[in-house]
Amino acid sequence: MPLRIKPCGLASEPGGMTQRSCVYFGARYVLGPIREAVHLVHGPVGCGYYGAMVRGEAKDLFGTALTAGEIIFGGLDKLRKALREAFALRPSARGAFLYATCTTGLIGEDLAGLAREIERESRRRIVVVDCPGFSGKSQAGGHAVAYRSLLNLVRPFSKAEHPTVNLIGEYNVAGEAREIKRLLEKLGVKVHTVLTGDTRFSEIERLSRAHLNLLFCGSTAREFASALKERFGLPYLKVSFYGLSAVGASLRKVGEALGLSSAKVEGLIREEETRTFREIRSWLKLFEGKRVLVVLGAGRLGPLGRMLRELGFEVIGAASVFGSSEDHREAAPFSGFLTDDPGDDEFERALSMLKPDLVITNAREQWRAVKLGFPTLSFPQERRRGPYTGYQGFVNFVYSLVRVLRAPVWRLKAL
Amino acid sequence: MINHVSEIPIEGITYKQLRIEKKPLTPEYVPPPPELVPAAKRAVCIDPSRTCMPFGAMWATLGVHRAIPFVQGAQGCTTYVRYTFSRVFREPASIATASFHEDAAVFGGRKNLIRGVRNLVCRYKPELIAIVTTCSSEVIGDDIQSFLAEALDLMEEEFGPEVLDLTKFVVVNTPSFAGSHVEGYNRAAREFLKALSRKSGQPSEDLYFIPGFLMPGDLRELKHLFELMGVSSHILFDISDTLDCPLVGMPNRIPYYPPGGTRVEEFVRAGDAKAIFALSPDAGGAGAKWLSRRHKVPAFVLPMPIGVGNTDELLKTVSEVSGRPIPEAIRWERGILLDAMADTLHYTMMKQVAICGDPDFAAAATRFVCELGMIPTYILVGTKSSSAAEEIWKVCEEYNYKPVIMNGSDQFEWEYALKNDKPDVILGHSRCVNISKEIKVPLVRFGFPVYDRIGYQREPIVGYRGGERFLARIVNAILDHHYPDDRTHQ
Repeated sequence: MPLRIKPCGLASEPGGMTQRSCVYFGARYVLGPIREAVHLVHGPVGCGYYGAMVRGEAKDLFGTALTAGEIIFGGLDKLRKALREAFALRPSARGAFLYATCTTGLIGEDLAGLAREIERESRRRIVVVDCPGFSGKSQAGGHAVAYRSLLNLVRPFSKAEHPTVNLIGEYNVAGEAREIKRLLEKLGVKVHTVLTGDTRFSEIERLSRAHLNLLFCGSTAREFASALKERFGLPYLKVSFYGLSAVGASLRKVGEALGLSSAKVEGLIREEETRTFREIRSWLKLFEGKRVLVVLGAGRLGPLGRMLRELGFEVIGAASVFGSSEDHREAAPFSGFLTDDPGDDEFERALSMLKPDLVITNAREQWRAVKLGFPTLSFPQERRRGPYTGYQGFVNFVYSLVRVLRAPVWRLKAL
Repeated sequence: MINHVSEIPIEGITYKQLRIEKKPLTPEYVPPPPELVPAAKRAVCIDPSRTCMPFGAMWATLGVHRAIPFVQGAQGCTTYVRYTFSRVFREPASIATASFHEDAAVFGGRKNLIRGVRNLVCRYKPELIAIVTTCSSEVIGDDIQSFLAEALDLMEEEFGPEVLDLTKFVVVNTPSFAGSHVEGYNRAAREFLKALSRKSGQPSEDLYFIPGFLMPGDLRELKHLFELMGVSSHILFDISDTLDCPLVGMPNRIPYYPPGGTRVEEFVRAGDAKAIFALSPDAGGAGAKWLSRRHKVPAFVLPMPIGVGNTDELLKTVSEVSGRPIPEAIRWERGILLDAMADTLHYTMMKQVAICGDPDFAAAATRFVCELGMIPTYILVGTKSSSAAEEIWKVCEEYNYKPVIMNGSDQFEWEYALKNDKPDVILGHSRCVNISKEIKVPLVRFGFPVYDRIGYQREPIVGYRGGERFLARIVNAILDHHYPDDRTHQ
């Protein structure tokens, strides 16, 4: 049976065993790490329990843990009380994020009205994140909701003295922002905030202090960046720090946009590339001609494909979990076939037909590939494997691949 | 703070005099306003120690051979749970979703269920589909039974009557706002038996067990005990070979189903069983009680077999019901556990211990730590449960302790108490790591969920051998932490 190739951007079929998640998941993914703010989920206990884990890390999360009575008669009184208590327990918070869930959406709670009321009373900003789980095709809808809710927080500010940038759509998985900051600081560029990998509530208000926005994940944050451009004249630049050629090109673009001396930029690139090549040279022949299957979220598909290409891999197939057409256009040149929203059976069928030498997939699905005996690398990575961005990240990525590919366990499987 | 530790009945010496001196907390710690500490007086819930009902129903379903849970709700209700299973077991968990979008919210989930069931049956050919409802489908008021009947009618029209024999269906109503994962498992146990079990009139000698949230290693330990006893036992919702199975390589048939799990026929024959045992009163008790009401199968709702007393109770009951004596090999195992307890009593005696867990785990662990001579101080029962609270009171009265029981509270209140009165050891799940680091008290992981340690799911804590390992884990934590420089152990 041939592999079924699905177009992107369609809603998933019921019973198709999708890996996609809900809008609330997406909103939590983006907004979860914002500090100096109270995060409050208005919904049953489960949503609060699961939402506390964002990118593999436990975050501070309040919940209203609705019970049957509140579902029937309305939970706004409980929510009002809960918000006041949350502010009393976190007196240093400058504002609050108020998440709606499926239940809230269905019983039709007026969160915006309540938010205005508490705003007046507590003199703190309350951001309503309207993210009932069913209100979109996948978590991508939640990313969009989250960024839209952040937009009204940003206020006009005078520009900073030093060349300053914001990193937009950079989620700081395993400290990726640290490596990006290191490179930019070597060029004398300051990073104002990492949205939303490492940011505070008050920093979002002052986003317009920067001279330039660097846009990392285009599919989640492009709308936000272009809105900032429209409102505050803050230009944005799409960059990627995955893979050597992409980092070099991105650094050059940043240097040009901020008017840095090109000798400085070229010097940095040459110096770092030499060091990187020295570290990874001996491993490159291990990767030559190895066949990879990639099943990932969305935005990382293109950059990862490029990075694998640079190392000598052949990407025999790629599947996005919730990719947009832009993600697919970016990934198309690198992969044998490209599909969207594979079910569990389709993933297994692809494995059995293609027999890849390496599988790169997300944290949930990696175990399926492992169980069927394929060397598997999960991506986004765990913290201990270090960041995969920038030059140091490239070295980390190579070492992760070497560890996976050389593990004797894959050769031991037959008795 | 409350001096909850009663005077130990040893002349002249109180526990406080024996203790290592408490260190003050880190200076950054700002105590919350005291009126907001008790969870009962708060509207806001912080760090709940329980999760949603569908999770429990999915756990139960994944313990059935070639069964797929079908979640009638939004995609997140599935993905979050899959993520939790992956983290805890490091195994794939196939869970299907009805993919609720805006149209389902407006028009109801009828179309989603009909199409979803058809897709699942055609593509995965499961032996059983458990339809698990969620908050959203319950709020909309989906009539699952009639939707399912319609779906079956349509499939019969399309594929012929033989399609109806292919797959069995069970419907479990699990709105998260009415309980927690414990209640979800409980309901699943009842609904599975309700939908599948039959009484053929030919009584068998088989004993049935509903384990609750026991891990694969625990289930294997139970099977080992029953094998030694020589009783024919069936464990319902047996996740031991579905959520912990070997690296298989490419299977012959795709989609891949793990081998093992309870067969559908075992559920069907449950009506003829000699007896049914619920090993967790709160997770599975309802199933056992239903079977005894409906099919007159004697039901025994016992505490989880952790520690000496609880395991004794289980084995004695099994022995009485089956008429088989407890063999020498099991007495030997029991002796080894007692020996280990005697060997290590100097480390465990009079150590204060705080416990956090699901009701059955918390109650059973309380008895075990009391048997070890430890003093339970603050016990957080994640899901509100009167039976667990009663059991804990019973144990503590026996041993003359007066712990603070936080029944159905959240971790915030428990942590506040621990910060004011540090215990020597914490027994709890992986979500207690932060408090353990903050107050610098070792954490012994047990219960659900444990995702930050390798091999927890394979190492039993039930039975005598499991008790010995659990004891070793507790003592090693104490050794590492309270006697780090003691060279006599090295």
